[in-house]
Amino acid sequence: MRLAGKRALITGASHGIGRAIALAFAHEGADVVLTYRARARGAEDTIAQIRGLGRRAFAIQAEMTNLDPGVVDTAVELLGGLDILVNNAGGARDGAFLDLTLDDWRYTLDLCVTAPFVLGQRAARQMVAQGGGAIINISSVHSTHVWANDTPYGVAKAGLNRLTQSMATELAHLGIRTNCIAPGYINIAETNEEQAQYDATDGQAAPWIVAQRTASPTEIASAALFLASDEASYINGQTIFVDGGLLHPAITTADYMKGSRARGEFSG
Amino acid sequence: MTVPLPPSIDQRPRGERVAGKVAIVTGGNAGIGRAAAELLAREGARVVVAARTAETGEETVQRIVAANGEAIFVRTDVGREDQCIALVAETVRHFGRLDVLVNNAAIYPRATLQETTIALWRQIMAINLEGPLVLCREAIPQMIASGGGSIINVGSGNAKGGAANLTPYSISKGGLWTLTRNVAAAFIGDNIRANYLNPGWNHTETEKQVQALEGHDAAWLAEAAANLPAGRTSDPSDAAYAILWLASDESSFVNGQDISTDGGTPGGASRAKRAV
Repeated sequence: MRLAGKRALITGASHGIGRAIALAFAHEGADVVLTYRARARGAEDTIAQIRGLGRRAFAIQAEMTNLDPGVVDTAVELLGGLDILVNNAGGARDGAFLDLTLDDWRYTLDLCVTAPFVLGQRAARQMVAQGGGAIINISSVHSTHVWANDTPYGVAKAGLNRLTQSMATELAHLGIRTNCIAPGYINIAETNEEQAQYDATDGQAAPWIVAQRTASPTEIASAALFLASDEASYINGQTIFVDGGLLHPAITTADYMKGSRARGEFSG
Repeated sequence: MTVPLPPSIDQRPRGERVAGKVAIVTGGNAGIGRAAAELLAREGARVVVAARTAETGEETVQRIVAANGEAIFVRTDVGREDQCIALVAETVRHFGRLDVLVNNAAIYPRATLQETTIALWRQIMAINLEGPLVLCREAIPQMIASGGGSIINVGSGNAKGGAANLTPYSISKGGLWTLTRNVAAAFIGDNIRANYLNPGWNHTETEKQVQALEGHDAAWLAEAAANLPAGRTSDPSDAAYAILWLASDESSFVNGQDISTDGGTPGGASRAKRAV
């Protein structure tokens, strides 16, 4: 059991990457509090699976853009402490630069970088009192690779990588490690409708990805498991790309890069 | 507070995270190479310990066997093309397959640009860069025959940061990074992954000898370690656990990446108060 007895808070874990992380942690002995925004059924299903493994699990409905550190306090009360925080919840209101509104910008930055700051600070204070912990931020290949129409999301995720470095630098001597995972294209579809949407958008990237396929959420979860465990005790301030090698260098000017994502809102 | 060490490899129960795999670890006779060889063996891999020095290489094998693991020693100077070819051939002859290659063996003589003779340059490049190149070339067809593989190149933060007194070494590690990226892109269709590991500053026995030559005693080393963000230098086991993860199928979507077990020096090696 690589996380035996650890207590973890994972945001946005009713589906996709967050859910895969929650289940991977529980399989390795962790108790879990997860947050969700709208997918109550996914959250209930996830905690039922975790309880089936004999671990404690709780779900909290929370809108991350409320920037409420009380989510951490609730998790600490439910679990009796906190050893691991995974800032996974994310999403964006992206669009063409000339059309972006300040609301789009604020929503995306609040969700992707300010919420991880607020939760990370509160969690770190708890971890200081306990003598240590591990914080993992889920970023994106958009943090370093530029696509058209991804301005708020790319800027927010670049900020999250940098927030990781600051936290790592200031918290290392307090026994807290902070790292970041930058996933590439992931297929998180669970329903036919989601699969159709994925096929029409990110699924089309597969031929251009060096790995010739997109990732499964479990492939991100295994990186999170490693970073959360004591095996990674000297890995700090890193952003690890789990992206299958991402895009073939030769296609970085291809049409695909000019507008992979139509204007719109998505939740990661 | 000092960042704690990862779980002890010696006291680790046997596991199966790389069960069924065959791994070559160059420089497996000491430091990071020995830690990686022992950890891979604990997690079920059959390990080929490659090193120039038979005595210490055989010692690693004995330690693995004593822990109920499986390993052989193949005496290898990775600076010699014929010996690299023989290493891969002997691995496949003995174990029947090859899944993991850890290019760990390296030398790091101090030399500024002005001190870098072509003789020294060629010696460093032969071991640090030509060896990994030849081993990748020889290993990849065998990995393809085994259904795929994972290559881990042990590099250095100096590849990007440079270091005034480690000029040829730093350049060799920069070349190793480019080799990693090339292999990662070229063979993905064959299910071959290649990743790069910056192991941070390790106070291995060899490093202590080099520091002693520069007049840095135990007190100097202790102070330098305490001034690092993590309050300690890298332990070989830190890198070993990252190597285990990169060698295992758990990292199946991680390819062409540069991962550091350096305790967090985001500004680069120069941020640490390490004298150069």
